[in-house]
Amino acid sequence: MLVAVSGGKDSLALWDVLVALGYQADGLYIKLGIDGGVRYSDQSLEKIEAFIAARPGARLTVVDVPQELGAPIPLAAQLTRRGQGRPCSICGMSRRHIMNRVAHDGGYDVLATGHNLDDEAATLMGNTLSWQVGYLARQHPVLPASDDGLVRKVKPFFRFYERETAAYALVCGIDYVYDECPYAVGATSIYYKGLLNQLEADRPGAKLQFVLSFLRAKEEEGAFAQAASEVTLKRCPKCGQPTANDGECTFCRTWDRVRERLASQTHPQTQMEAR
Amino acid sequence: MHVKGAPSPAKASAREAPFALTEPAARVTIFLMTVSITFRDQQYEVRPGMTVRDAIRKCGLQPEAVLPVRDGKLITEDVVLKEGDRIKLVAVISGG
Ligand code: SF4
Repeated sequence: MLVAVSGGKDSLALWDVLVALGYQADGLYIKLGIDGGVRYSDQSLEKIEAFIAARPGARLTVVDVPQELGAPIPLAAQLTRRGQGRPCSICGMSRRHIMNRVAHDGGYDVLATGHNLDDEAATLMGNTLSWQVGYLARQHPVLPASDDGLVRKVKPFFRFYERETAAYALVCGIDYVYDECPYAVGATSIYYKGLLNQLEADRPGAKLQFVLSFLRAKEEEGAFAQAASEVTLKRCPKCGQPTANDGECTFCRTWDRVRERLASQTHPQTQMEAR
Repeated sequence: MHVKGAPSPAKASAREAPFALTEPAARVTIFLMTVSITFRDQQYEVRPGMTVRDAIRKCGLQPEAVLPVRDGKLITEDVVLKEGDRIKLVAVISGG
């Protein structure tokens, strides 16, 4: 099993639980190249390294985005003008691609992520408010592997409140990154989490009920089943990863554009230096 | 007329010094024991005797969004705060 770890409370708590339960769970850290004045990426990796130092046998794969792809995430976002000034769009897309690729190429049969109940409820709220039927069709704690190259994905903590995973990490002495990614400030998901917490304060259990009744509607009444069956994936001719695009996948197109723009920016300077 | 909730006139006059302090050397500093609460870089003070949950609300924060820690140990929301307690609130919301 491969566990995606960010250095935050949820993913480190999940890794801790999986190891304690006897799973051969290896970690994957994607170094995004985000500093934000708090050394966010470096700090996250340091926490993960401290975590594995205390757990002999735990193995970690690190994918260094600036080194492997050519630019840190915030610069890539600037160069492609994706995401209206926020790097979250290119960040999420790249992380999903890398996680699937590493799990697939490494022969892992399942990829686990630390999504908790609050994450699921906030995503569900966002998707419902804008009726993103395709996203609603794919939102599930277990997504099966597909013949077109998607690995099986699981969210073992999807029934746990964010408070519970944080409490677990504190009680077990797991040292995690307290600093939030600097780009998370003002994120819609955090806004939705605040609204859901107000609801939860008035009606305890509301978040769990929201997520579980959605899953029940899908399983028992076939809600969004049609949208789920409409998606057909092809293989990207460049990287071989599954994609809904005709031709190259969004990841390959985006990062090619980043490297092109980077080269066109640095090229004149290199010529000047050579003179 | 006395407004409900406002200090009563009797109490207000009781707080006035019964004598005039004229000499600077005679100044008295009174330390009121409170509970200090820190959340990120914010500092709050509340009165002892209330529960952690009420104190978090009093600071304008959502009890669901934080975990209270006292002396490095996680405490529950029904704990009644004592004079001099120092509470650190750990943010639990993450996302992006
Ligand atoms: S807040 Fe945005 S940039 Fe930061 S890790 Fe999350 S998705 Fe990436």
